[in-house]
Amino acid sequence: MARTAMVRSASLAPKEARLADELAEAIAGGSFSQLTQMLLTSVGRPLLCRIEELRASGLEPGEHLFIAHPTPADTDAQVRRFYEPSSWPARGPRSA
Amino acid sequence: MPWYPKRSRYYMPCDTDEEIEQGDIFWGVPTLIARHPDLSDHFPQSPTQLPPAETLAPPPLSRVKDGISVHADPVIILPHTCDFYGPEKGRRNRVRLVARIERLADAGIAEHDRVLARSGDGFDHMFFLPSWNDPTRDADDMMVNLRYMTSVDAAYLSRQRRLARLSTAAIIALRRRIAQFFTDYAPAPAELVLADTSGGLIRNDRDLARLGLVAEPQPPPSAMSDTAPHSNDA
Repeated sequence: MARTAMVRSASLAPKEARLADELAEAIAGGSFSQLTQMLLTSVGRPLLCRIEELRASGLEPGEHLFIAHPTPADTDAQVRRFYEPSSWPARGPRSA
Repeated sequence: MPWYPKRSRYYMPCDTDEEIEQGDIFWGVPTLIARHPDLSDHFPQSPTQLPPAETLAPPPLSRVKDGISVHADPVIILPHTCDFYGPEKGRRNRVRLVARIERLADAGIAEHDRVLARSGDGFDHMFFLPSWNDPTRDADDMMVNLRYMTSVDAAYLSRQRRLARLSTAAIIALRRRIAQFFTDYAPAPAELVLADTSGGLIRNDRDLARLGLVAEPQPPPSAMSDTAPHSNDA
């Protein structure tokens, strides 16, 4: 069988190996390679689509961001806003 | 790279009859603030002169109600959809956790700090939102204020009063911001997408099991004693 990629052996715990064996037997004719391909297609491809969607939206999928600037102390206006009276109309909001 | 998606990719279309999801935005939902009645009745001119909590006694219920202010700003749904999804937990769970959305221009943030709020590099209690009517118009920029969360009855959330739905990328950004606010740690977007995908598979599997289409998961037989890892070759 022609190979297009070198696949390294996968270290699996016994219950993982059993699961792989049972899955391969049930849906991939006993082939671990074919099972891997099927999982990559059914799970990996949608996952990749969503990651590509993130990139297209301007987010970097692997980035660990942190808050670079401490939040400034609340202004007097923010404190006053906390103490503002209700803005809910007496008869209830009528539209957006 | 920024905390938030491009403005043009912040929202996605949503039909009125679609189920409510995390990140959906509504009008007509109250957000409550419990001010201490001793302060709300006699609010001093300078907010920096407020007395410390240790000098104030807990008021009787009637006065607690006097201190409550009710706001009519739009709100956003905060929890993951699985907590309240209509056909599932939502049938019994009436509690919907929402956060208040404020216009950036009205939020009391100094003009020079609004750039910081828009970037996400500061103000970690906020989640930036462009206007859903015109995301490119920065004069109408908004923010979710995670300090102002309220639990409301599901009856307040009519799908006919839904204003907007976040895009999938914006929901990932929202989850990241919520994680940052509560844990001071922001997971990588790919980590959140993977969690979402895995969670979806687990939930689907559970649904199928409940419907009897697949066998319920069984505990592994105790007779199996091989515990050492071994290799499976491709």
